[in-house]
Amino acid sequence: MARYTMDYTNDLGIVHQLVSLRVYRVDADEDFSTSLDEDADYLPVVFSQAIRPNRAVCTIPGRTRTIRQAVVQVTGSSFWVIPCPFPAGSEVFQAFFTDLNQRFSRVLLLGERVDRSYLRPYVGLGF
Amino acid sequence: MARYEVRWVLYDLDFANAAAVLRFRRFLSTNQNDIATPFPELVAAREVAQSTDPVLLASRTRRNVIQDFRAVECCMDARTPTGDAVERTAIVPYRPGDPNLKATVAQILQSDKVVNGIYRGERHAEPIQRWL
Repeated sequence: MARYTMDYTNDLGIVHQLVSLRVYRVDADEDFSTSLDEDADYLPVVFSQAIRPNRAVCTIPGRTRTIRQAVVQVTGSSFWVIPCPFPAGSEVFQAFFTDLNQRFSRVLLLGERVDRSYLRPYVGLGF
Repeated sequence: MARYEVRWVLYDLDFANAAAVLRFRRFLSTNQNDIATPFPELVAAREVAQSTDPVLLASRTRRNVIQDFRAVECCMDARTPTGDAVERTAIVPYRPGDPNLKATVAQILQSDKVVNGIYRGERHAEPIQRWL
């Protein structure tokens, strides 16, 4: 199971510390977990550098949460889905995508979603 | 009477230094059943004259380069005549890291008739290469 403990920063600048992020492969609509060895070959350097040695002890709150992910096409029907813990506009975010773009011809970005119960407090309006 | 209007908004993409002029179609408040799409001050500040090379974002076309722009999907304090919930999608033209992003989301949530909303990040269905 390729799961990594990382600090995830959402687009509003809120940092979710020590959350578990999963890298996986989609083949013909089925998803498979990748192995650590497999990942080492293509994961961006900035991603590997951001992995924390701790155990993941937190989850990102909310029901409709979806994290920011990069989707890369490996072959015709095979994709890798890599979570991106870096907020857009940061240098690491740019490096993350530049790195992937050099290795794969087709790199897509899936944006995150922030749950309606948490959006108000995140922008300072209170619950 | 028109139910929509088209505004041209300068939009910062998630990728540094990348920006595009988006065609943003919003609902107008014309009668009881038409609830206006929030368009707060900070979004209006990014309005530009009609572009000759816009990134078209009418969701039904296949020409889109960005599949979805950064937005707040607002749940409005209204019902359609058939009793369904009314939702409006408000655009967030500022890039994460820009303090205006948070302020824009706050302004949208405080707009008239907005109950609450879901923040939606940018989504690309076409290779992002052209923006790097």
